[in-house]
Amino acid sequence: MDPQLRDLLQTAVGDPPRRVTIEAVRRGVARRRRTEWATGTAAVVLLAGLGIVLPGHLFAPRGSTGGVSSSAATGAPRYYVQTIINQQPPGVTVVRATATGKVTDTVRCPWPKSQIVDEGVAPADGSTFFLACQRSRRAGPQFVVTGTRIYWFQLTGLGRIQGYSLVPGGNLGPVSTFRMAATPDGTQLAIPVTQGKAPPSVLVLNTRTGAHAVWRNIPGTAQFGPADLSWARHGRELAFRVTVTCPPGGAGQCVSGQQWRVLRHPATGGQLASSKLLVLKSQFTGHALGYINDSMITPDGSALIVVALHSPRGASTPGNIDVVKVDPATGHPIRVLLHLNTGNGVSYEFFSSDPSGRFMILDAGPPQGANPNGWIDHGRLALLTPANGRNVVYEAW
Amino acid sequence: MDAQVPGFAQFVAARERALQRTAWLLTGDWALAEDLVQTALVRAWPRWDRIRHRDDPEIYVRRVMLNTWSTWTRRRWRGEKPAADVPEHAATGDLAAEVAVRLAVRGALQSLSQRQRAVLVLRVYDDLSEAQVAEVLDCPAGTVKSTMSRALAQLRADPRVADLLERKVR
Repeated sequence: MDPQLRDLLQTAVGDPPRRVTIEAVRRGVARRRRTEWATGTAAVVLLAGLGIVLPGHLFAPRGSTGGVSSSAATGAPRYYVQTIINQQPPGVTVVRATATGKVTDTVRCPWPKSQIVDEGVAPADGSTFFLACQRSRRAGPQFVVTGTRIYWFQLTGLGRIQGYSLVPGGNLGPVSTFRMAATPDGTQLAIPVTQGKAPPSVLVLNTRTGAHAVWRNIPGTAQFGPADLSWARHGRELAFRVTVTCPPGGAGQCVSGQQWRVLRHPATGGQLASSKLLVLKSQFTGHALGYINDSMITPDGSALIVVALHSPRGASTPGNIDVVKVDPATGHPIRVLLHLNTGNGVSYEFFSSDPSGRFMILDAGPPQGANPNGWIDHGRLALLTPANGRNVVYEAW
Repeated sequence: MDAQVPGFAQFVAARERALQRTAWLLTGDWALAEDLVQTALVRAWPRWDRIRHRDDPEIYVRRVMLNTWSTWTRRRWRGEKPAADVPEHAATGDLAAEVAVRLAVRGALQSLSQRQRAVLVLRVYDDLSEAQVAEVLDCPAGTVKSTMSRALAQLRADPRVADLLERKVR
């Protein structure tokens, strides 16, 4: 029966990433029986209690009280926020359901005349997101930021935005920012900021009290350009990737180049130079070698996840993308989470993770054709919508 | 129940991958495919004693799977995706090319109607006879034949699939 078509279907299918075991089926049967029993019992109780006045909130529609059900926490997040460019920049930011790809809402800056900052949405717990909005004005050939504000919003069980609130201390003034990082409980937000020609700094915002703690570069000393902020030790430490520029003449202790560092007490503020060195890029070996495009630390602080671009042997352009778990003490790779062979060149959009560090999204592929957009699921990309992420600028969940 | 487990366990071990592949062609998503197969097996288990005496128990399981999928697609929310721990191993081979084929085939299959997709997958991929497909879908064999014909025509006219088939021929 049409062997060519059958071959094609077989090529497309590949191998299932996981097995369905008899144990899983057995658990499903037990769960089904419990559900049937509970449903039957509930029906009896309901019938018996019809004469009793029932509290009205028992019949509130599911999801109307806000927040994603706790069961979602055990699987991939139910919704993700996506910025996509349809025709031309700046694009539109929407909420999509993971399972269906359906757009459930559109994210908008509540501050009039402001726009969402590039990669300016940071997830906290799967249903809470922080949003950076900025106003700017044209000054000659450039745009100058005139104000930045941080809002937060929560998704209902149906993926709708419940409303926006200005975060206490979220009026940051005329600073530029980009990708932020929130602790899983949403109580702290790390924001990389730059203002005019001043060196970059990191602002740690306590979202309950509005307190600011600023980590600065000191002129005349080693300069740190922090990126890839991520929280470690379950929100107690802040890690970042940094390219260190040593001062002319060289300070005795200064080690230049790309490195990963950590702030032990992020809420105090101080000098970025006082952060602790975790590992140097030059210490990386094996699969972690290559150009590092993105990185993060796992929430328990036990590993770095790096996205490394490699050139195949003898080639001058990168043709491989590896997402690798690296030991932060030694720089040795622990595990390759994903390997993509992209041929001659790489088209790279972004890498992001949920705050738990378990569900990582990658949008990257070959320079021509489809750019797979999906989350890393047992060494494969489980595709999100749209599956071709060529026009997707950023996603967060 | 426990007495039924051995035969059922053997069936699951032997056929779950094939069932998952069929489910992926229907849903276009491995997580949903796994969920679909697991749900079908959970529903088949209590009736296994009766099912295993049939000529082909797999037909029954596929029927449950198709019915479940049909129910899911009517529901607004299709349930949670199964949990996944941190990945343990890396994929090998030319994943980008593989993804390109997967995207093209999945896109083409999604453009078919639900029934056309089911008929095509069961008939072409699972190599079931028209009578068996009719039994799974609970419809006359003539309907299977006409649906198959329309599905094939639509698929061959799809540029994504036509291009891939042409490359295969070369």
